[in-house]
Amino acid sequence: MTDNGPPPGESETPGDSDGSVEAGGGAPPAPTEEARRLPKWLVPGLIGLVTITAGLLTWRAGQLGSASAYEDRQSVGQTITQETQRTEAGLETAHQASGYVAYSAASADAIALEDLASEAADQGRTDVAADLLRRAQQTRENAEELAAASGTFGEQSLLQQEVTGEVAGPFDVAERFDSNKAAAATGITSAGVLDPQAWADQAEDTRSRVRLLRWATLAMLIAVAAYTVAELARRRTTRMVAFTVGGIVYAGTLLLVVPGAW
Amino acid sequence: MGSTTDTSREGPVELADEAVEDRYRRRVGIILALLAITGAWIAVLATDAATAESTTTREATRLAVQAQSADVLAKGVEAARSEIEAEVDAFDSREVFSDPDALEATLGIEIDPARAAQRRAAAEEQVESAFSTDGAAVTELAETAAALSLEQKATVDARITWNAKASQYETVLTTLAIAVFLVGFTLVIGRRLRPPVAVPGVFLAIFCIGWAGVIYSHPIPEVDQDAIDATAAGKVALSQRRAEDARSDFTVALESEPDYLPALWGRALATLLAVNPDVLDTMAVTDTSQSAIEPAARDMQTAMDNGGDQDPQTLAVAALARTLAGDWDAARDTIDSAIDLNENGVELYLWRAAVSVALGDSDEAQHWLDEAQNRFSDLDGDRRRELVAQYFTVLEVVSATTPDQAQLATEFTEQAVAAATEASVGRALDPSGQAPVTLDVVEATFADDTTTLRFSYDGIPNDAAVAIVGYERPAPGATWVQPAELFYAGEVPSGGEGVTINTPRSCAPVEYRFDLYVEGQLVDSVTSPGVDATC
Repeated sequence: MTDNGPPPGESETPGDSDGSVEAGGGAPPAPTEEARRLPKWLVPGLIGLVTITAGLLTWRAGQLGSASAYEDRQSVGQTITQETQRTEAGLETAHQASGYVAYSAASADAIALEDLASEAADQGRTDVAADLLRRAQQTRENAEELAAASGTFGEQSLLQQEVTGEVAGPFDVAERFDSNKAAAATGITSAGVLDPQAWADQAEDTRSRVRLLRWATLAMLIAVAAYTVAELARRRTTRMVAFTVGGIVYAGTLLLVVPGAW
Repeated sequence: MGSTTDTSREGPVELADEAVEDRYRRRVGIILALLAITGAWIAVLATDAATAESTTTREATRLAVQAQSADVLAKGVEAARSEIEAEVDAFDSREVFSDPDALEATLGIEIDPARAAQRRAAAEEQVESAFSTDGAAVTELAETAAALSLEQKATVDARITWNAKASQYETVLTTLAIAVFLVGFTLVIGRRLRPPVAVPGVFLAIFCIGWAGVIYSHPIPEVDQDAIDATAAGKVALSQRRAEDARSDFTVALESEPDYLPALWGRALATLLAVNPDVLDTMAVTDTSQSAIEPAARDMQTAMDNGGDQDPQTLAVAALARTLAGDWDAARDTIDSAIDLNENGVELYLWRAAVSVALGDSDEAQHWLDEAQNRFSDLDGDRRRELVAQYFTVLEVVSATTPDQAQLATEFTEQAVAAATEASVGRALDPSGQAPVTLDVVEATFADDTTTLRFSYDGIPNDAAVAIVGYERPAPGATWVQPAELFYAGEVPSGGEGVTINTPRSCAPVEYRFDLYVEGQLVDSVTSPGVDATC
């Protein structure tokens, strides 16, 4: 009782652990306790190894967490830039649409004046017809000036219309919005290629890796706990089971989780 | 011998104690290891929650700007489309499209009426087909913008929940650290002190584990995308005053999300709008049987029971419904709650002032009126007029439903009219020494969403400051409504020619009332028949 042996009910020998007893002079000598015991340095060494691994995983998770925050900011920043372009394009489109309505009304007015002039000319009232045609021309010119000022038509488009006599239209909001957007995005001073969704997806992917690394770190902690039990337990079976569990958890985590998450 | 015997007895006792101590330490060690693992698990959950919060924050921010740009496009295109109608209306004033007889007189030529009609039709056709984008496409743009906005709000709700979870997990971790300390501390204190320290520590740890479980099980609010899309369609239909479409869309949304607040209050509004077509424009309640009040109130109650009492928009809609229903006590409580959550809502202060009038508390009414006026300075004149018109209309509801307070309502109306008149003429009013004044309605007609008015009056000094406040009765038996446009305050108008103003109405006025104020005093009030009822 003074040799610091196991307390009642506990044993360090395999025979004791399963209740059998080595007996008989013919039997080979039982291995000594020291021979069956794991090397003294092994479990503490593994505890240290697993702890360092957990530290590395935590460090990597921190790195990736920082990267995902950066990716988030990129995604938000690019979204704002992209939507600013869309807002500018939307405002421009609305302005141009409004200009087109006014242009269209003025054109209709001019066409009606020309028709009225034709009616007057048919009655031999060339003076009235000439006056009406002059007013129609004036109306057109005013309308074109306003349309150019609002950006509804470029000067060249107006020239084309004047030469051919065809009124451009109707106004396609979607098409004009797309072209205004494209103009905002492709200028020499534009913000370049924007892909906020790609950054968002990348942030999500990075966060998934961080999450896996956190769970891996938790698994490492479980392995440390198992190795601690393996170091402290008095029952050999307990020690071996704990040692095995620790090894499986550690190796399993390293092989299955870490490569994908790192 | 004695000493030998003592030694032989103490030895086993010491060894037994040591064995017990050793066992205790191992148990504590195992408990601490388990708590450490539990703590790490909770820390992982906390990190997950924080991560999810970051993700939802990013998405909420992105959705906010996307919703904003979509809204700009939708509103801009909508405004441009509304110009088409205005341009077509403006053809009436263009000489070339004027009446053939008038044109003949002006130009001195013969005008073929058929050809003139053809010219007009061709011009209208040209302007009306100015856009290849039809009304449905414009509505779709508006629905996209509304859906993005609703999605953003839903994401913000999710973000708030994730934030709460992350913060609660941190509290759990801190509490668990205390539990770990208590259990670990027993290793260095005497045996007798251990139970009162270790037992609370273990219970605290168990409590923490349960607490973390409860936090984990708390659901993250999510809104079904179909419900968002249907609600967005309903909101756009509501803004376009398509009450039945709106009701149908909101009902679709509520089938998948029965507690979705925007759909609940949206359907309540659509229900009110279906039987009171002008209620959202002039606050006109034409459904005198109040058949819509009950279903709308039911939706609002469901909304209030599901967090609507913390949502400014839900509270504002509830306040409107309760005010129009004349349920003054409930209206007072709801408006107070709404003001608590949105102190910028100027309407709320004016409604609250009117509710105080209904409850007979003039001091409180004055207080709320002052609060409203304090917020008027940033608003332009037309907006102020709209707000004051609403206020007058609610005061008319007060007079109609609470005759005991009719006099007080009249006094508060008079006060607001005087303030508007003073602001218009730029001097203090002088109500003393007024001679008798009379107002006659020469003409008050309504046709094609246009009101034509002509008055004659007698006895008004030339330099007096006057106000004429017009009211409409939108349906037989309905309460008077004060539309924003039927209001004049300023110097004495020259009169004679009358005015014609654009007054789009679903419910044609069946009766008019005009109150004449001179130097802020009500001096005459006359009524005039309107047109046949359409509501």
